[in-house]
Amino acid sequence: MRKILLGSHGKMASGLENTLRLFVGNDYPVTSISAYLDSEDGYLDEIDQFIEGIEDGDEAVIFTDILGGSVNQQVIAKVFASEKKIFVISNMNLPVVISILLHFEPLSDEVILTLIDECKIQLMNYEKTHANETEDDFFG
Amino acid sequence: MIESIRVDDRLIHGQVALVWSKEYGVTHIVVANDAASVNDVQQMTLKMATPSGIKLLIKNVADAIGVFNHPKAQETKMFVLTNTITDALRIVEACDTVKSVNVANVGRFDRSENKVTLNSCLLVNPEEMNSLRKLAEKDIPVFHQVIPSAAKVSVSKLI
Repeated sequence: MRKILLGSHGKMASGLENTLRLFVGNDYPVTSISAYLDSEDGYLDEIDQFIEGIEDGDEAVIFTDILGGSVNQQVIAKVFASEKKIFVISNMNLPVVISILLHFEPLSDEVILTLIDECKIQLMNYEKTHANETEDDFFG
Repeated sequence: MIESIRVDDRLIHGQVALVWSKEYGVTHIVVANDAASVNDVQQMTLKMATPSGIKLLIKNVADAIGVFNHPKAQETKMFVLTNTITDALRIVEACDTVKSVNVANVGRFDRSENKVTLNSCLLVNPEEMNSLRKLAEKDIPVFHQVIPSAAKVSVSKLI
Protein backbone atom coordinates (compact mmCIF):
# COMPACT_ATOMS: atom_id res chain seq x y z
CA MET A 1 0.00 0.00 0.00
CA ARG A 2 1.20 3.49 -0.80
CA LYS A 3 0.87 5.58 2.37
CA ILE A 4 1.13 9.35 2.28
CA LEU A 5 1.59 11.93 5.01
CA LEU A 6 1.21 15.66 4.36
CA GLY A 7 2.83 17.98 6.92
CA SER A 8 2.74 21.76 7.22
CA HIS A 9 2.97 24.73 9.51
CA GLY A 10 -0.70 25.63 10.04
CA LYS A 11 -3.54 24.33 7.93
CA MET A 12 -1.96 23.93 4.51
CA ALA A 13 -1.67 20.15 4.94
CA SER A 14 -5.24 19.60 6.14
CA GLY A 15 -6.49 21.98 3.43
CA LEU A 16 -4.49 20.13 0.80
CA GLU A 17 -5.87 16.84 2.04
CA ASN A 18 -9.39 18.27 1.79
CA THR A 19 -8.79 19.42 -1.81
CA LEU A 20 -7.09 16.15 -2.71
CA ARG A 21 -10.17 14.21 -1.56
CA LEU A 22 -12.29 16.11 -4.09
CA PHE A 23 -10.06 14.71 -6.81
CA VAL A 24 -9.42 11.17 -5.64
CA GLY A 25 -12.09 10.39 -3.03
CA ASN A 26 -11.69 8.85 0.39
CA ASP A 27 -10.24 5.44 -0.42
CA TYR A 28 -6.57 6.38 -0.26
CA PRO A 29 -4.40 6.23 2.89
CA VAL A 30 -3.51 9.92 3.09
CA THR A 31 -3.16 11.67 6.45
CA SER A 32 -2.18 15.21 7.31
CA ILE A 33 -0.47 17.03 10.13
CA SER A 34 -1.15 20.71 10.71
CA ALA A 35 1.57 21.79 13.12
CA TYR A 36 1.86 24.77 15.48
CA LEU A 37 -1.83 25.59 15.65
CA ASP A 38 -1.61 25.73 19.42
CA SER A 39 1.12 25.68 22.05
CA GLU A 40 0.65 22.04 23.07
CA ASP A 41 1.34 20.48 19.79
CA GLY A 42 1.28 16.72 19.29
CA TYR A 43 2.61 16.76 15.79
CA LEU A 44 5.86 14.99 16.58
CA ASP A 45 3.84 12.06 17.92
CA GLU A 46 1.76 12.08 14.74
CA ILE A 47 4.91 11.77 12.64
CA ASP A 48 6.01 8.85 14.83
CA GLN A 49 2.63 7.16 14.42
CA PHE A 50 2.82 7.44 10.66
CA ILE A 51 6.32 5.98 10.55
CA GLU A 52 5.39 3.16 12.95
CA GLY A 53 2.41 2.29 10.77
CA ILE A 54 4.56 1.55 7.75
CA GLU A 55 4.76 -2.19 7.17
CA ASP A 56 6.82 -4.38 4.89
CA GLY A 57 5.58 -4.01 1.34
CA ASP A 58 4.27 -0.49 1.91
CA GLU A 59 5.57 2.49 0.01
CA ALA A 60 5.72 5.63 2.14
CA VAL A 61 5.95 9.27 1.11
CA ILE A 62 6.00 12.29 3.40
CA PHE A 63 5.37 15.69 1.85
CA THR A 64 6.23 18.89 3.71
CA ASP A 65 5.37 22.50 3.07
CA ILE A 66 8.81 24.11 2.87
CA LEU A 67 12.41 23.03 2.61
CA GLY A 68 14.30 23.87 5.78
CA GLY A 69 11.16 24.50 7.81
CA SER A 70 10.92 22.86 11.20
CA VAL A 71 8.31 20.35 10.02
CA ASN A 72 10.68 19.23 7.30
CA GLN A 73 13.59 19.07 9.76
CA GLN A 74 11.61 16.95 12.23
CA VAL A 75 10.45 14.63 9.48
CA ILE A 76 13.96 14.12 8.12
CA ALA A 77 15.33 13.41 11.61
CA LYS A 78 12.61 10.88 12.39
CA VAL A 79 12.80 9.16 9.01
CA PHE A 80 16.57 8.89 9.32
CA ALA A 81 16.29 7.43 12.81
CA SER A 82 13.67 4.90 11.74
CA GLU A 83 15.92 3.36 9.07
CA LYS A 84 12.82 2.73 6.97
CA LYS A 85 12.64 3.55 3.26
CA ILE A 86 10.51 6.66 3.19
CA PHE A 87 10.56 9.27 0.46
CA VAL A 88 10.51 12.84 1.78
CA ILE A 89 9.45 15.62 -0.58
CA SER A 90 9.51 19.28 0.38
CA ASN A 91 7.66 22.23 -1.19
CA MET A 92 4.57 20.15 -1.85
CA ASN A 93 1.78 21.13 -4.19
CA LEU A 94 -1.52 19.58 -5.26
CA PRO A 95 -0.43 18.19 -8.66
CA VAL A 96 2.64 16.46 -7.29
CA VAL A 97 0.68 14.80 -4.50
CA ILE A 98 -1.96 13.54 -6.94
CA SER A 99 0.65 12.33 -9.42
CA ILE A 100 2.61 10.39 -6.83
CA LEU A 101 -0.50 9.01 -5.14
CA LEU A 102 -1.90 7.67 -8.41
CA HIS A 103 1.30 6.65 -10.17
CA PHE A 104 0.83 3.12 -11.45
CA GLU A 105 4.44 1.91 -11.13
CA PRO A 106 6.53 1.35 -7.99
CA LEU A 107 8.18 4.51 -6.73
CA SER A 108 11.90 5.16 -6.98
CA ASP A 109 13.98 8.32 -6.75
CA GLU A 110 14.04 8.45 -10.53
CA VAL A 111 10.27 8.06 -10.92
CA ILE A 112 9.63 10.71 -8.27
CA LEU A 113 12.03 13.18 -9.89
CA THR A 114 10.20 12.77 -13.19
CA LEU A 115 6.80 13.31 -11.56
CA ILE A 116 8.06 16.36 -9.66
CA ASP A 117 9.38 17.80 -12.90
CA GLU A 118 5.95 17.43 -14.52
CA CYS A 119 4.25 19.20 -11.60
CA LYS A 120 6.43 22.28 -11.22
CA ILE A 121 4.81 25.60 -10.44
CA GLN A 122 4.54 27.57 -13.65
CA LEU A 123 4.26 31.09 -14.93
CA MET A 124 1.40 30.86 -17.39
CA ASN A 125 2.13 32.12 -20.85
CA TYR A 126 -0.96 33.75 -22.32
CA GLU A 127 0.29 33.72 -25.86
CA LYS A 128 -2.13 31.86 -28.01
CA THR A 129 -0.96 28.37 -28.52
CA HIS A 130 -2.05 26.29 -31.43
CA ALA A 131 -3.76 23.39 -29.77
CA ASN A 132 -5.16 22.01 -32.94
CA GLU A 133 -2.83 19.43 -34.31
CA THR A 134 -3.67 17.81 -37.59
CA GLU A 135 -4.97 14.29 -37.57
CA ASP A 136 -1.65 13.08 -38.91
CA ASP A 137 0.21 14.72 -35.99
CA PHE A 138 -2.32 13.30 -33.59
CA PHE A 139 -1.99 9.71 -34.72
CA GLY A 140 1.66 9.99 -35.75
CA MET B 1 -10.78 2.93 -30.14
CA ILE B 2 -12.57 5.13 -27.67
CA GLU B 3 -11.97 3.93 -24.11
CA SER B 4 -14.68 6.21 -22.87
CA ILE B 5 -16.63 9.33 -23.73
CA ARG B 6 -16.96 11.59 -20.73
CA VAL B 7 -19.72 14.20 -20.70
CA ASP B 8 -18.38 17.03 -18.60
CA ASP B 9 -19.49 20.65 -18.80
CA ARG B 10 -15.95 21.68 -17.86
CA LEU B 11 -14.41 19.49 -20.61
CA ILE B 12 -10.77 18.98 -19.53
CA HIS B 13 -10.24 20.06 -15.93
CA GLY B 14 -8.34 18.85 -12.90
CA GLN B 15 -10.22 15.60 -12.30
CA VAL B 16 -10.04 14.67 -15.96
CA ALA B 17 -6.46 15.64 -16.60
CA LEU B 18 -4.86 14.22 -13.50
CA VAL B 19 -7.09 11.38 -12.46
CA TRP B 20 -9.02 9.90 -15.38
CA SER B 21 -6.19 9.94 -17.88
CA LYS B 22 -4.19 7.83 -15.43
CA GLU B 23 -7.14 5.56 -14.73
CA TYR B 24 -7.57 4.69 -18.41
CA GLY B 25 -3.88 4.91 -19.29
CA VAL B 26 -4.77 6.90 -22.40
CA THR B 27 -2.27 8.66 -24.62
CA HIS B 28 -4.73 10.68 -26.70
CA ILE B 29 -7.56 13.00 -25.66
CA VAL B 30 -10.10 14.41 -28.11
CA VAL B 31 -12.35 17.32 -27.19
CA ALA B 32 -15.40 17.12 -29.45
CA ASN B 33 -17.03 20.51 -29.09
CA ASP B 34 -18.31 22.93 -31.70
CA ALA B 35 -17.64 26.07 -29.64
CA ALA B 36 -14.12 25.09 -28.55
CA SER B 37 -13.15 24.20 -32.11
CA VAL B 38 -13.45 27.87 -33.11
CA ASN B 39 -12.34 29.55 -29.86
CA ASP B 40 -8.60 30.25 -29.66
CA VAL B 41 -8.64 31.20 -25.99
CA GLN B 42 -10.54 28.09 -24.95
CA GLN B 43 -8.14 25.98 -27.01
CA MET B 44 -5.26 27.55 -25.14
CA THR B 45 -6.74 26.79 -21.72
CA LEU B 46 -7.64 23.24 -22.74
CA LYS B 47 -4.12 22.68 -23.92
CA MET B 48 -2.76 23.99 -20.62
CA ALA B 49 -5.01 21.52 -18.78
CA THR B 50 -3.76 18.54 -20.76
CA PRO B 51 -1.10 16.51 -18.93
CA SER B 52 2.34 16.31 -20.47
CA GLY B 53 2.80 13.23 -22.61
CA ILE B 54 -0.81 13.22 -23.79
CA LYS B 55 -1.80 14.39 -27.27
CA LEU B 56 -4.81 16.66 -27.58
CA LEU B 57 -7.08 17.18 -30.57
CA ILE B 58 -9.91 19.71 -30.51
CA LYS B 59 -12.55 19.29 -33.22
CA ASN B 60 -16.16 20.14 -33.83
CA VAL B 61 -18.40 17.11 -33.32
CA ALA B 62 -18.78 16.29 -37.02
CA ASP B 63 -15.03 16.41 -37.64
CA ALA B 64 -14.34 14.45 -34.47
CA ILE B 65 -16.56 11.64 -35.78
CA GLY B 66 -14.40 11.65 -38.91
CA VAL B 67 -11.31 11.28 -36.74
CA PHE B 68 -12.82 8.37 -34.80
CA ASN B 69 -13.53 6.54 -38.03
CA HIS B 70 -9.97 7.14 -39.30
CA PRO B 71 -8.20 3.77 -39.84
CA LYS B 72 -5.48 4.67 -37.32
CA ALA B 73 -8.08 5.42 -34.67
CA GLN B 74 -8.73 1.71 -34.14
CA GLU B 75 -5.30 1.13 -32.62
CA THR B 76 -5.15 4.37 -30.61
CA LYS B 77 -6.43 4.49 -27.03
CA MET B 78 -8.52 7.64 -26.91
CA PHE B 79 -10.46 9.42 -24.21
CA VAL B 80 -13.15 11.74 -25.54
CA LEU B 81 -14.73 14.76 -23.86
CA THR B 82 -18.03 16.38 -24.81
CA ASN B 83 -19.88 18.96 -22.76
CA THR B 84 -23.39 17.80 -23.62
CA ILE B 85 -25.15 14.47 -23.60
CA THR B 86 -26.50 15.27 -27.06
CA ASP B 87 -22.98 15.52 -28.52
CA ALA B 88 -22.01 12.21 -26.88
CA LEU B 89 -25.11 10.56 -28.39
CA ARG B 90 -24.16 11.84 -31.87
CA ILE B 91 -20.75 10.22 -31.53
CA VAL B 92 -22.12 6.92 -30.21
CA GLU B 93 -24.59 6.76 -33.10
CA ALA B 94 -21.87 7.44 -35.68
CA CYS B 95 -19.03 5.27 -34.31
CA ASP B 96 -19.20 1.65 -33.27
CA THR B 97 -15.91 1.69 -31.33
CA VAL B 98 -17.12 3.51 -28.22
CA LYS B 99 -16.63 1.27 -25.17
CA SER B 100 -18.56 3.33 -22.61
CA VAL B 101 -20.06 6.72 -21.81
CA ASN B 102 -19.60 8.42 -18.45
CA VAL B 103 -22.20 11.15 -17.93
CA ALA B 104 -20.22 12.95 -15.24
CA ASN B 105 -21.07 16.65 -14.95
CA VAL B 106 -23.97 18.23 -16.82
CA GLY B 107 -25.90 21.48 -16.57
CA ARG B 108 -23.93 23.40 -13.96
CA PHE B 109 -23.52 26.28 -16.41
CA ASP B 110 -26.81 25.74 -18.27
CA ARG B 111 -29.05 28.76 -17.62
CA SER B 112 -32.09 27.34 -19.46
CA GLU B 113 -35.34 26.60 -17.65
CA ASN B 114 -37.16 23.36 -16.88
CA LYS B 115 -34.05 21.46 -15.87
CA VAL B 116 -34.48 18.22 -13.95
CA THR B 117 -32.05 17.45 -11.12
CA LEU B 118 -30.97 13.80 -11.33
CA ASN B 119 -28.30 14.21 -8.66
CA SER B 120 -25.91 16.93 -7.48
CA CYS B 121 -23.83 16.72 -10.69
CA LEU B 122 -26.55 16.21 -13.29
CA LEU B 123 -29.00 19.03 -14.06
CA VAL B 124 -30.66 18.02 -17.29
CA ASN B 125 -32.77 20.18 -19.61
CA PRO B 126 -35.50 18.56 -21.75
CA GLU B 127 -33.32 18.17 -24.86
CA GLU B 128 -30.52 16.60 -22.82
CA MET B 129 -32.99 14.32 -21.07
CA ASN B 130 -34.24 13.12 -24.44
CA SER B 131 -30.67 12.36 -25.51
CA LEU B 132 -29.95 10.67 -22.19
CA ARG B 133 -32.88 8.30 -22.63
CA LYS B 134 -31.68 7.35 -26.11
CA LEU B 135 -28.13 6.90 -24.86
CA ALA B 136 -29.28 4.63 -22.02
CA GLU B 137 -30.87 2.29 -24.58
CA LYS B 138 -27.57 1.72 -26.39
CA ASP B 139 -25.75 -1.55 -26.07
CA ILE B 140 -22.76 -0.11 -24.15
CA PRO B 141 -22.30 0.85 -20.48
CA VAL B 142 -23.69 4.33 -19.83
CA PHE B 143 -22.99 5.43 -16.29
CA HIS B 144 -22.33 8.33 -13.94
CA GLN B 145 -19.01 8.39 -12.07
CA VAL B 146 -17.30 11.64 -11.12
CA ILE B 147 -14.00 10.16 -9.92
CA PRO B 148 -12.69 6.59 -10.25
CA SER B 149 -13.03 5.80 -6.55
CA ALA B 150 -16.71 6.82 -6.53
CA ALA B 151 -19.41 4.24 -7.24
CA LYS B 152 -20.39 3.77 -10.88
CA VAL B 153 -24.14 4.40 -11.17
CA SER B 154 -25.99 3.16 -14.22
CA VAL B 155 -27.77 6.05 -15.95
CA SER B 156 -30.89 3.93 -16.43
CA LYS B 157 -31.29 3.97 -12.63
CA LEU B 158 -31.21 7.78 -12.57
CA ILE B 159 -33.81 8.56 -15.23
